[in-house]
Amino acid sequence: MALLSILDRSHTIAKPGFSRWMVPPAALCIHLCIGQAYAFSVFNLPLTKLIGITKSAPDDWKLTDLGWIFSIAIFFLGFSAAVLGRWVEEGGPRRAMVAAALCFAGGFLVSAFGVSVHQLWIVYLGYGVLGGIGLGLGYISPVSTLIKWFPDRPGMATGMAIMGFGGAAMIAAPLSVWLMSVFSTPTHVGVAESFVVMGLVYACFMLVGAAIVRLPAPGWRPDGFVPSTQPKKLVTTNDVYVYQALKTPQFWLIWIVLCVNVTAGIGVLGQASAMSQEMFPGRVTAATAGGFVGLLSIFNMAGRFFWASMSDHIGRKNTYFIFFALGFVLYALVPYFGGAGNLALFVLCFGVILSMYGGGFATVPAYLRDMFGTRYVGAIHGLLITAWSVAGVLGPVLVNYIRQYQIDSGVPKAQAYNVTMYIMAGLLVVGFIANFLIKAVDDRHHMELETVDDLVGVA
Amino acid sequence: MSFDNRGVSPTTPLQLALAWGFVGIPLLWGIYGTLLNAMKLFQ
Repeated sequence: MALLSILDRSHTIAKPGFSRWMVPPAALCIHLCIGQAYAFSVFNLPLTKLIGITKSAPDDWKLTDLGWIFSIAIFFLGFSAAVLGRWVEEGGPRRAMVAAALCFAGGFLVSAFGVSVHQLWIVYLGYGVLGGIGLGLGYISPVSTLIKWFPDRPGMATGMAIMGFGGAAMIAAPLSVWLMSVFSTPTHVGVAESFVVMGLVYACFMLVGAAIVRLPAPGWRPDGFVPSTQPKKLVTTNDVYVYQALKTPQFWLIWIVLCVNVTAGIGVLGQASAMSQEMFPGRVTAATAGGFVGLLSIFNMAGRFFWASMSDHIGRKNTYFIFFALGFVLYALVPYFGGAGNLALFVLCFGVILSMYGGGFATVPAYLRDMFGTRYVGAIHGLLITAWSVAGVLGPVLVNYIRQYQIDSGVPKAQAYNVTMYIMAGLLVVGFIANFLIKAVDDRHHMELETVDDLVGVA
Repeated sequence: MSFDNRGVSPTTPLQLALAWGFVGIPLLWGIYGTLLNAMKLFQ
């Protein structure tokens, strides 16, 4: 048990002289691994050929059944972030990161066994449930630690970590393809072995992050940092207890803001390949559409750092006002650029939209910190992640069903997305209003100082 | 990198370079590959 004590919050307090710039790489070690979830689809086709090898055999798994692996993982991401947020916050980042590494890597290993014995329920249990819990724990574990280390630039700090989640697929997708090519034989597709290697590599990578991470000592401040003496209306110096936050209108308004922003972006992201090909028939092929999706991933990743950093200067509320106002204009312009055949402006529009999609994810922890204080920001962030789970269903459903309805009504494929774009623009108006309604949290929700000290040793 | 939190242990530039390289190199590799692929869109 003494060995496990190194995971305790008290053993994570930094010594004097520790550079806070070691913490973003620690957070990136986690987020660059768990963001692999966005690239899981590269395994889907090979998983449908485990028996038939070159083509699907009757007993092979169906693509529709395999789609559930990702859905279960995302569900458990939201579920574990919401339920275990307080445990993460009070136990410190190292314990949470190690637990995330064991769950995420364990999910791969269990799934590898499921693939080798050809039992899909074991893969659901492995990558879906266990891996999903690892995703949730890993996603929220470094957030409040970074905010404590960077009180002068909380947006930039969390933006750096969450940028890793957006960029991870760019590493995981080619890595997965390469591993399968190494392990495949004429009688074997090599998925199980790839899962084992990825599980082990990710475990090592995430454990390095857990070893590096530190919490600042109580009362620590960055050199030269003087907290503003001018009170800001929307930045509190108090703390709100995690479950008390649920009783505030601010939590639910930010929930709507995140949900709307993610719904608009995720619907487009999921359909980007098909949309570009159908809006520019003959000019965008399946191969070049892959390039378009890759480009959107870069905008998504860069937006996480850019917008979150920008929010430190212009404020969180103004940042979301930009997302919703600029997003409204861009969504409304997409059908025009599509109709005019202007591919460059079409790509640019979606690039900026996706940068704001990523920016929404990365700016929200700092928004929560401004509203509810630093103490439970990680746990409150965990509860807010449920907005992502809802948007993950809502966005693709909106885009897919409206497109299908349009096609069934006789609208040409090239114009089938126009109504969707206008609906997305309308959705952003809802987000704009929710953001507009956000005011400072009422004093009665703030924790008393004794309560803060009673709950845990404050760092 | 020690787990111990007693005493003073300033972070060295080498430790910083190693930590950032550990995460930065794979990320840059991923971005480079993605950009190469994205160029096909405008060719």
